[in-house]
Amino acid sequence: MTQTAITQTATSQDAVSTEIFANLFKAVVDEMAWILLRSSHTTFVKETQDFAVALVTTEGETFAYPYGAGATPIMGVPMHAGTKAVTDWAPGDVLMTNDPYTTGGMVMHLNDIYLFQPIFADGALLCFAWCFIHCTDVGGYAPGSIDMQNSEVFQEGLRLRPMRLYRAGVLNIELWNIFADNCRIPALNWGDITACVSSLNKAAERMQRLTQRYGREAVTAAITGTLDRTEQITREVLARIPAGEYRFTEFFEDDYISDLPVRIVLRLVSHGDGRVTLDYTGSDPQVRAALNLPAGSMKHHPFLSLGLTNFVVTKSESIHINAGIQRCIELVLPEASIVNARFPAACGMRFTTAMRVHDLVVGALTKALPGEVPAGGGNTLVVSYISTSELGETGRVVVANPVVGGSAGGPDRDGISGTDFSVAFLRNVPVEVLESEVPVLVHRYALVPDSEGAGRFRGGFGVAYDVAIQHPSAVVVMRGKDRFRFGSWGAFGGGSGAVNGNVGQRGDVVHDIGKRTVYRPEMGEVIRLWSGGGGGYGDPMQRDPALVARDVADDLVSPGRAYDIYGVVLRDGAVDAAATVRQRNDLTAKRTPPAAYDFGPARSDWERIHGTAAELIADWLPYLPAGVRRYAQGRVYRHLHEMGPGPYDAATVRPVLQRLETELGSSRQVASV
Amino acid sequence: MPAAGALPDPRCAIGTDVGGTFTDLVFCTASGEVHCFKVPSTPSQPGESVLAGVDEISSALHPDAAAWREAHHTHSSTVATNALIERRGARVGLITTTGFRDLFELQRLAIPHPMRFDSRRPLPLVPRELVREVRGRIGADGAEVEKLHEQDVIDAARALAAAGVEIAVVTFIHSYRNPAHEQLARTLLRRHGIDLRVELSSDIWPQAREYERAVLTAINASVRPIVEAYIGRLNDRLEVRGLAVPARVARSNGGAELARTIRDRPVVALLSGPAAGVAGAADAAEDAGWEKADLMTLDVGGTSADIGVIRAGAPVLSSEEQVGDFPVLIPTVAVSSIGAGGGSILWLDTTGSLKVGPRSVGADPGPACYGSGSMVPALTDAFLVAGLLTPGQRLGGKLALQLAPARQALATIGERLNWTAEQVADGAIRIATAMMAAEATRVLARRGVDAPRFRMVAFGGAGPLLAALIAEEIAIDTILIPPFPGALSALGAARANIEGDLVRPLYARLHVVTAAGLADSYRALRDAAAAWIAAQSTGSGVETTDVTYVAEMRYEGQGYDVAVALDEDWLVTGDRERIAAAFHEAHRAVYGHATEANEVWLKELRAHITGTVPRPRLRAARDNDDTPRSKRPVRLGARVIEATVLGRNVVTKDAAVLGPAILNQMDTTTLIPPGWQARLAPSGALILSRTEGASAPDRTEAEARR
Repeated sequence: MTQTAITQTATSQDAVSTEIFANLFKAVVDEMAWILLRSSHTTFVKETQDFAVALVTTEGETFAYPYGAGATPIMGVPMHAGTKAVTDWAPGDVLMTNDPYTTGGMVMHLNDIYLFQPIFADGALLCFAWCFIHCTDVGGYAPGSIDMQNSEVFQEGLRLRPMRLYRAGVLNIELWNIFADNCRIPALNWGDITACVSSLNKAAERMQRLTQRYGREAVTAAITGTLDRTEQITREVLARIPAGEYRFTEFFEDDYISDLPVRIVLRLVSHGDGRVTLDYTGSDPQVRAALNLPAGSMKHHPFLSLGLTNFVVTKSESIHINAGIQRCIELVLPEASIVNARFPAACGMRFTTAMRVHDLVVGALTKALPGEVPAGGGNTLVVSYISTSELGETGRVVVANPVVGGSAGGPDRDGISGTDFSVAFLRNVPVEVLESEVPVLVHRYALVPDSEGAGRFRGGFGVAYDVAIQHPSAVVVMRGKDRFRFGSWGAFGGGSGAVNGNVGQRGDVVHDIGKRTVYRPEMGEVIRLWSGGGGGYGDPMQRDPALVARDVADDLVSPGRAYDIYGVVLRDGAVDAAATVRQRNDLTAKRTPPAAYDFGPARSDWERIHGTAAELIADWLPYLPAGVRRYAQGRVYRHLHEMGPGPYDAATVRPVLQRLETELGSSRQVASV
Repeated sequence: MPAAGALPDPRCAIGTDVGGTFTDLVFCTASGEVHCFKVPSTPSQPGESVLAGVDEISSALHPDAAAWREAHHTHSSTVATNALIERRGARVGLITTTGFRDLFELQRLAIPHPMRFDSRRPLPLVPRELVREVRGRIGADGAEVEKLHEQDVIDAARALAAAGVEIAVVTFIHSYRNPAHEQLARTLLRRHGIDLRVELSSDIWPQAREYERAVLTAINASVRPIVEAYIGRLNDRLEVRGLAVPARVARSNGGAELARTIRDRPVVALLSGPAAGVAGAADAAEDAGWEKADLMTLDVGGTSADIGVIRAGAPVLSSEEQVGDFPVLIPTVAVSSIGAGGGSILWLDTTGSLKVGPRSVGADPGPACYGSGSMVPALTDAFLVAGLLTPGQRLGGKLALQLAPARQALATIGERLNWTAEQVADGAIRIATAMMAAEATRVLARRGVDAPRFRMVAFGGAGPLLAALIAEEIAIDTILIPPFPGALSALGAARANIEGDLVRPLYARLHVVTAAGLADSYRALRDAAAAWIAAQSTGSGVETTDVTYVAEMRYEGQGYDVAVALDEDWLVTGDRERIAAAFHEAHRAVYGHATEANEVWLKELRAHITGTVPRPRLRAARDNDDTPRSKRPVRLGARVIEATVLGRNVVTKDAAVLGPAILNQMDTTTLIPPGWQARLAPSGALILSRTEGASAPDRTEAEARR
């Protein structure tokens, strides 16, 4: 840091008052989060921390956010669609919405109920208190409202454009009744809403006390000041990314209704001055499954810059976390794509896409700043919940453990087992609690040995979760399944991790459940769900043999794997140093040097065969009408597959594109491809 | 130092508090005199400092042998906590239910800093290598689902013993409901002559949540040998010194227990120091005539500011406290800690924003004003430069404070901001004040209360210095500074009653709990409480026993419980309606809303047992600080004001001292800002209060900026 930068900004007591107010604002949002977390009634809030609170400027910028409670990835989503939704705000108003499509991507799926309360000081609007909760059920086709195979938002529950649930403190009961009549658990949802409103009221009270003590002017200045300061720190961190372009590609191995992968590409442009552009041009069209992220073509959006946000937070000591981070990150989003879906795309599991995009951004960063970020994590979150209902009784929906892939190894440490950075705020559900609330018996909740991506710093291990269902009418909903074939990726010589899976076991008979979301088990059936490991970082042959010996002693790495992959020879658990050197030399001589990235066998194969085709298709699709793009893409691959096993070169692909273009119509001639 | 030659009467009491750097001891005579002692701690030989302190008491006061023999003595220490944090405990293995080998690897899944790529879970207390699984299963209702495979247990125990494990922790799923399998495991080891100590989770604290219960049990196992050795040595050698009353150990619940029983469950005493401090604050308030008061406590030390809450005269207990990296399920005096204390480092972030902590300079080298050559600016340097402390003053018997190096250290920051050292000092104090005020708001909010209804008790080295500034931020009007603010934990220990906690799981929807079932649970708790206090009574002089009952309750779907105080009659008669009503009321009090229509769960019943023991009454003490009255400029809130500096002993009941003033005494300094006054309570405590008309904010930020 240079002297000049400091004297420019710290000309007055601002250096002190911003810090003072940032602390006081933080106390307000912490208190909001505490009320909401502790007193809300639905399981998603309590078990998966799927809620958030914030203080928001009148322009919709988040200026205070708790980082010890609630979901971290949503921090900084632009909220002018809420704060500007009405013009005649009055004290005690509470605005409610859950609709992505009338809020321009502010809300991202129907289960998220956003609530806003205006805060007034000296008779004028000062700022807003905001919160959201993931309501376990908002109606729709499946219990919990989300099925991966939903294709339109209409299947995902009731949509509410921004409307006032309270006017000047008076409940709009008619609006609530519409909502209550269209969801499966109205009483619990009402409990959640009361918790939210308590939390918002408390924020209003606290902010008013602050303005009474310090004056409106000082508080307003501090709101601007804290955002500006975070922006400045963010710029300084991002300026470390050398100017230039860095590209990376990530995949969903399929789109849940077909075997066709979904490809997401990124061009990260560092402008060298602390501004970064994330250009997603070339990413696949929106799909007919609940994976779409309805980002509303926003210029800033936390779900699409999560990897960078985490990077900034990692690299800056005691930054005050707010939307100042997002100010430095601009997005370029292709229309009607998986990362910027258009009405009426289903979007229930859009978080799966946000997770994959997290890895995508981290991948680009591994190229921009080698040695500063981890490799690709297991980074999948399967939230499973068990819904039981008996005739004449209200149904119960209980969330079982989140099953998360291990995180990747980093430049100086191993990955984390059973969680990853986009969801590292999630807590598990104690078995003793789960079994007390719902008729199940958990057989296993443990790490999966040998699932880690090998590396100098290995990935974290995946977890296995085996649950016997002991209720005749239980429905098990497991959503967010991914990386069943395309695993995590290793970097700088590190290996890919093992993949996820899901089977059912009835007696001794095991059958595949695969990526189905809604599953009706037989009474007594054991559902076995497991996650893969994170990618490795660096060459496993350079891993400290003592650490390998430790993993073997812990039964996490098998002796065979230690020998074959890490080149470590153990005698009675101890490292045989000389034999290890010999084995490592031997393995090194035999192998081709590891590639910079290991994407695992399934993805590598797919890319080897379809890589050229994918590029050509991506360039071609934008010329087709938005509504037919995904369909057209599928047709191209079907044609190619009918022609032979591949790999498909440009000369093979082009005629197929031409033929389809004639059939489907295009805005230009295919000759220019 | 205390005056020599005072002869203690019978039934005097000693309290000790072993901290990381110093060991505090207080000696209370039956006539109410209090004598404080401070000796260096001896981390390599825990207990030596206590013995040295006891020797010092003995040689300074020459207590007669009979009185000495009857002196009650209660000890609080960080011996177990430090062993845990530094992972110096016993080699512990875990035997658990098949399928759950990774309890300690997975913990509760989340990582401490979810947005940071470099954050990791704390190192497991038991390495995976030393975890063995055995078949056998109890269900959530306590019924046996699968028989315990006895051979599995024997094999597991033999393997652990062979791996050098000293103590095996046994935690089976749902053992809090039905401990039969855990107990059978212990029997099997004995029967097969396996030489391995065993610790059962159902013995330590039978509450649902396998990870937390297992960790609690493992912590207990891990620190047990160290605590046993410590207590054994202490007991023997105190006896040699003529102390005949059995030693007591301060517990994390603010009470005390006989040392001979705490040896089996040292985990209940892990947070005894901070707990005794809050208990001491409650006592100090009562001494001052504040009956059943609602209080916030503020203890500012070298590295942290600790905030506690007292409701109706009793420290608030919580089962969500942490020790180091680990959760503690057992009811513990809730103390919230932030990394801002006298040693907290002042620094500038890259944008030139001034920051305080969380890193600390530590006792060595200490802040720059200690003159040890360090130029790293700390909060204490800011106190000195702002004029709140006096150059040459000695803090807790340490080196005399030096102004020049403190100014120089602050100037390194000032240069970069074009500020004077005084401006930096003032800024740092305002930030520290805001941090502590923000934390106080949070802590009180969690109890569903608002600061203005509360009074404050401030102690620790820097608590009385910042108390009024923080009180202004959060609109508290009255502050009590106890007579011995530097030795409050030791004093709290000396005056602690015998207190214990018991738990019984119910884990059911309230409407399915039967009246008979409730009454059964109540009787079981009542009987266990009676047995516990009977075991404590021998030699401790318990005079009266009181048991209070609390239910942990929540609405269907909620993730957290509200502790609901229950009337014993409701339990006897199984009055579920009254219990439900009490829950709705408690929920509304904490969160501001209740949803009466929704179903209610009753999770646990808890009993809190208090056995009162003869407690020394304290007489108003005189401090012998000889600070001459003077005036000096003090920088406060961007203003320079002339403050009176004087010794605490000039404050009397009749003559209030008006702010701005600074009161010096041996172990602390009290700041009385403009608009505040101090007077003396009959108990010898200082009472700070706002002068007439000053309860409104006395300056705005805009004014302060000018």
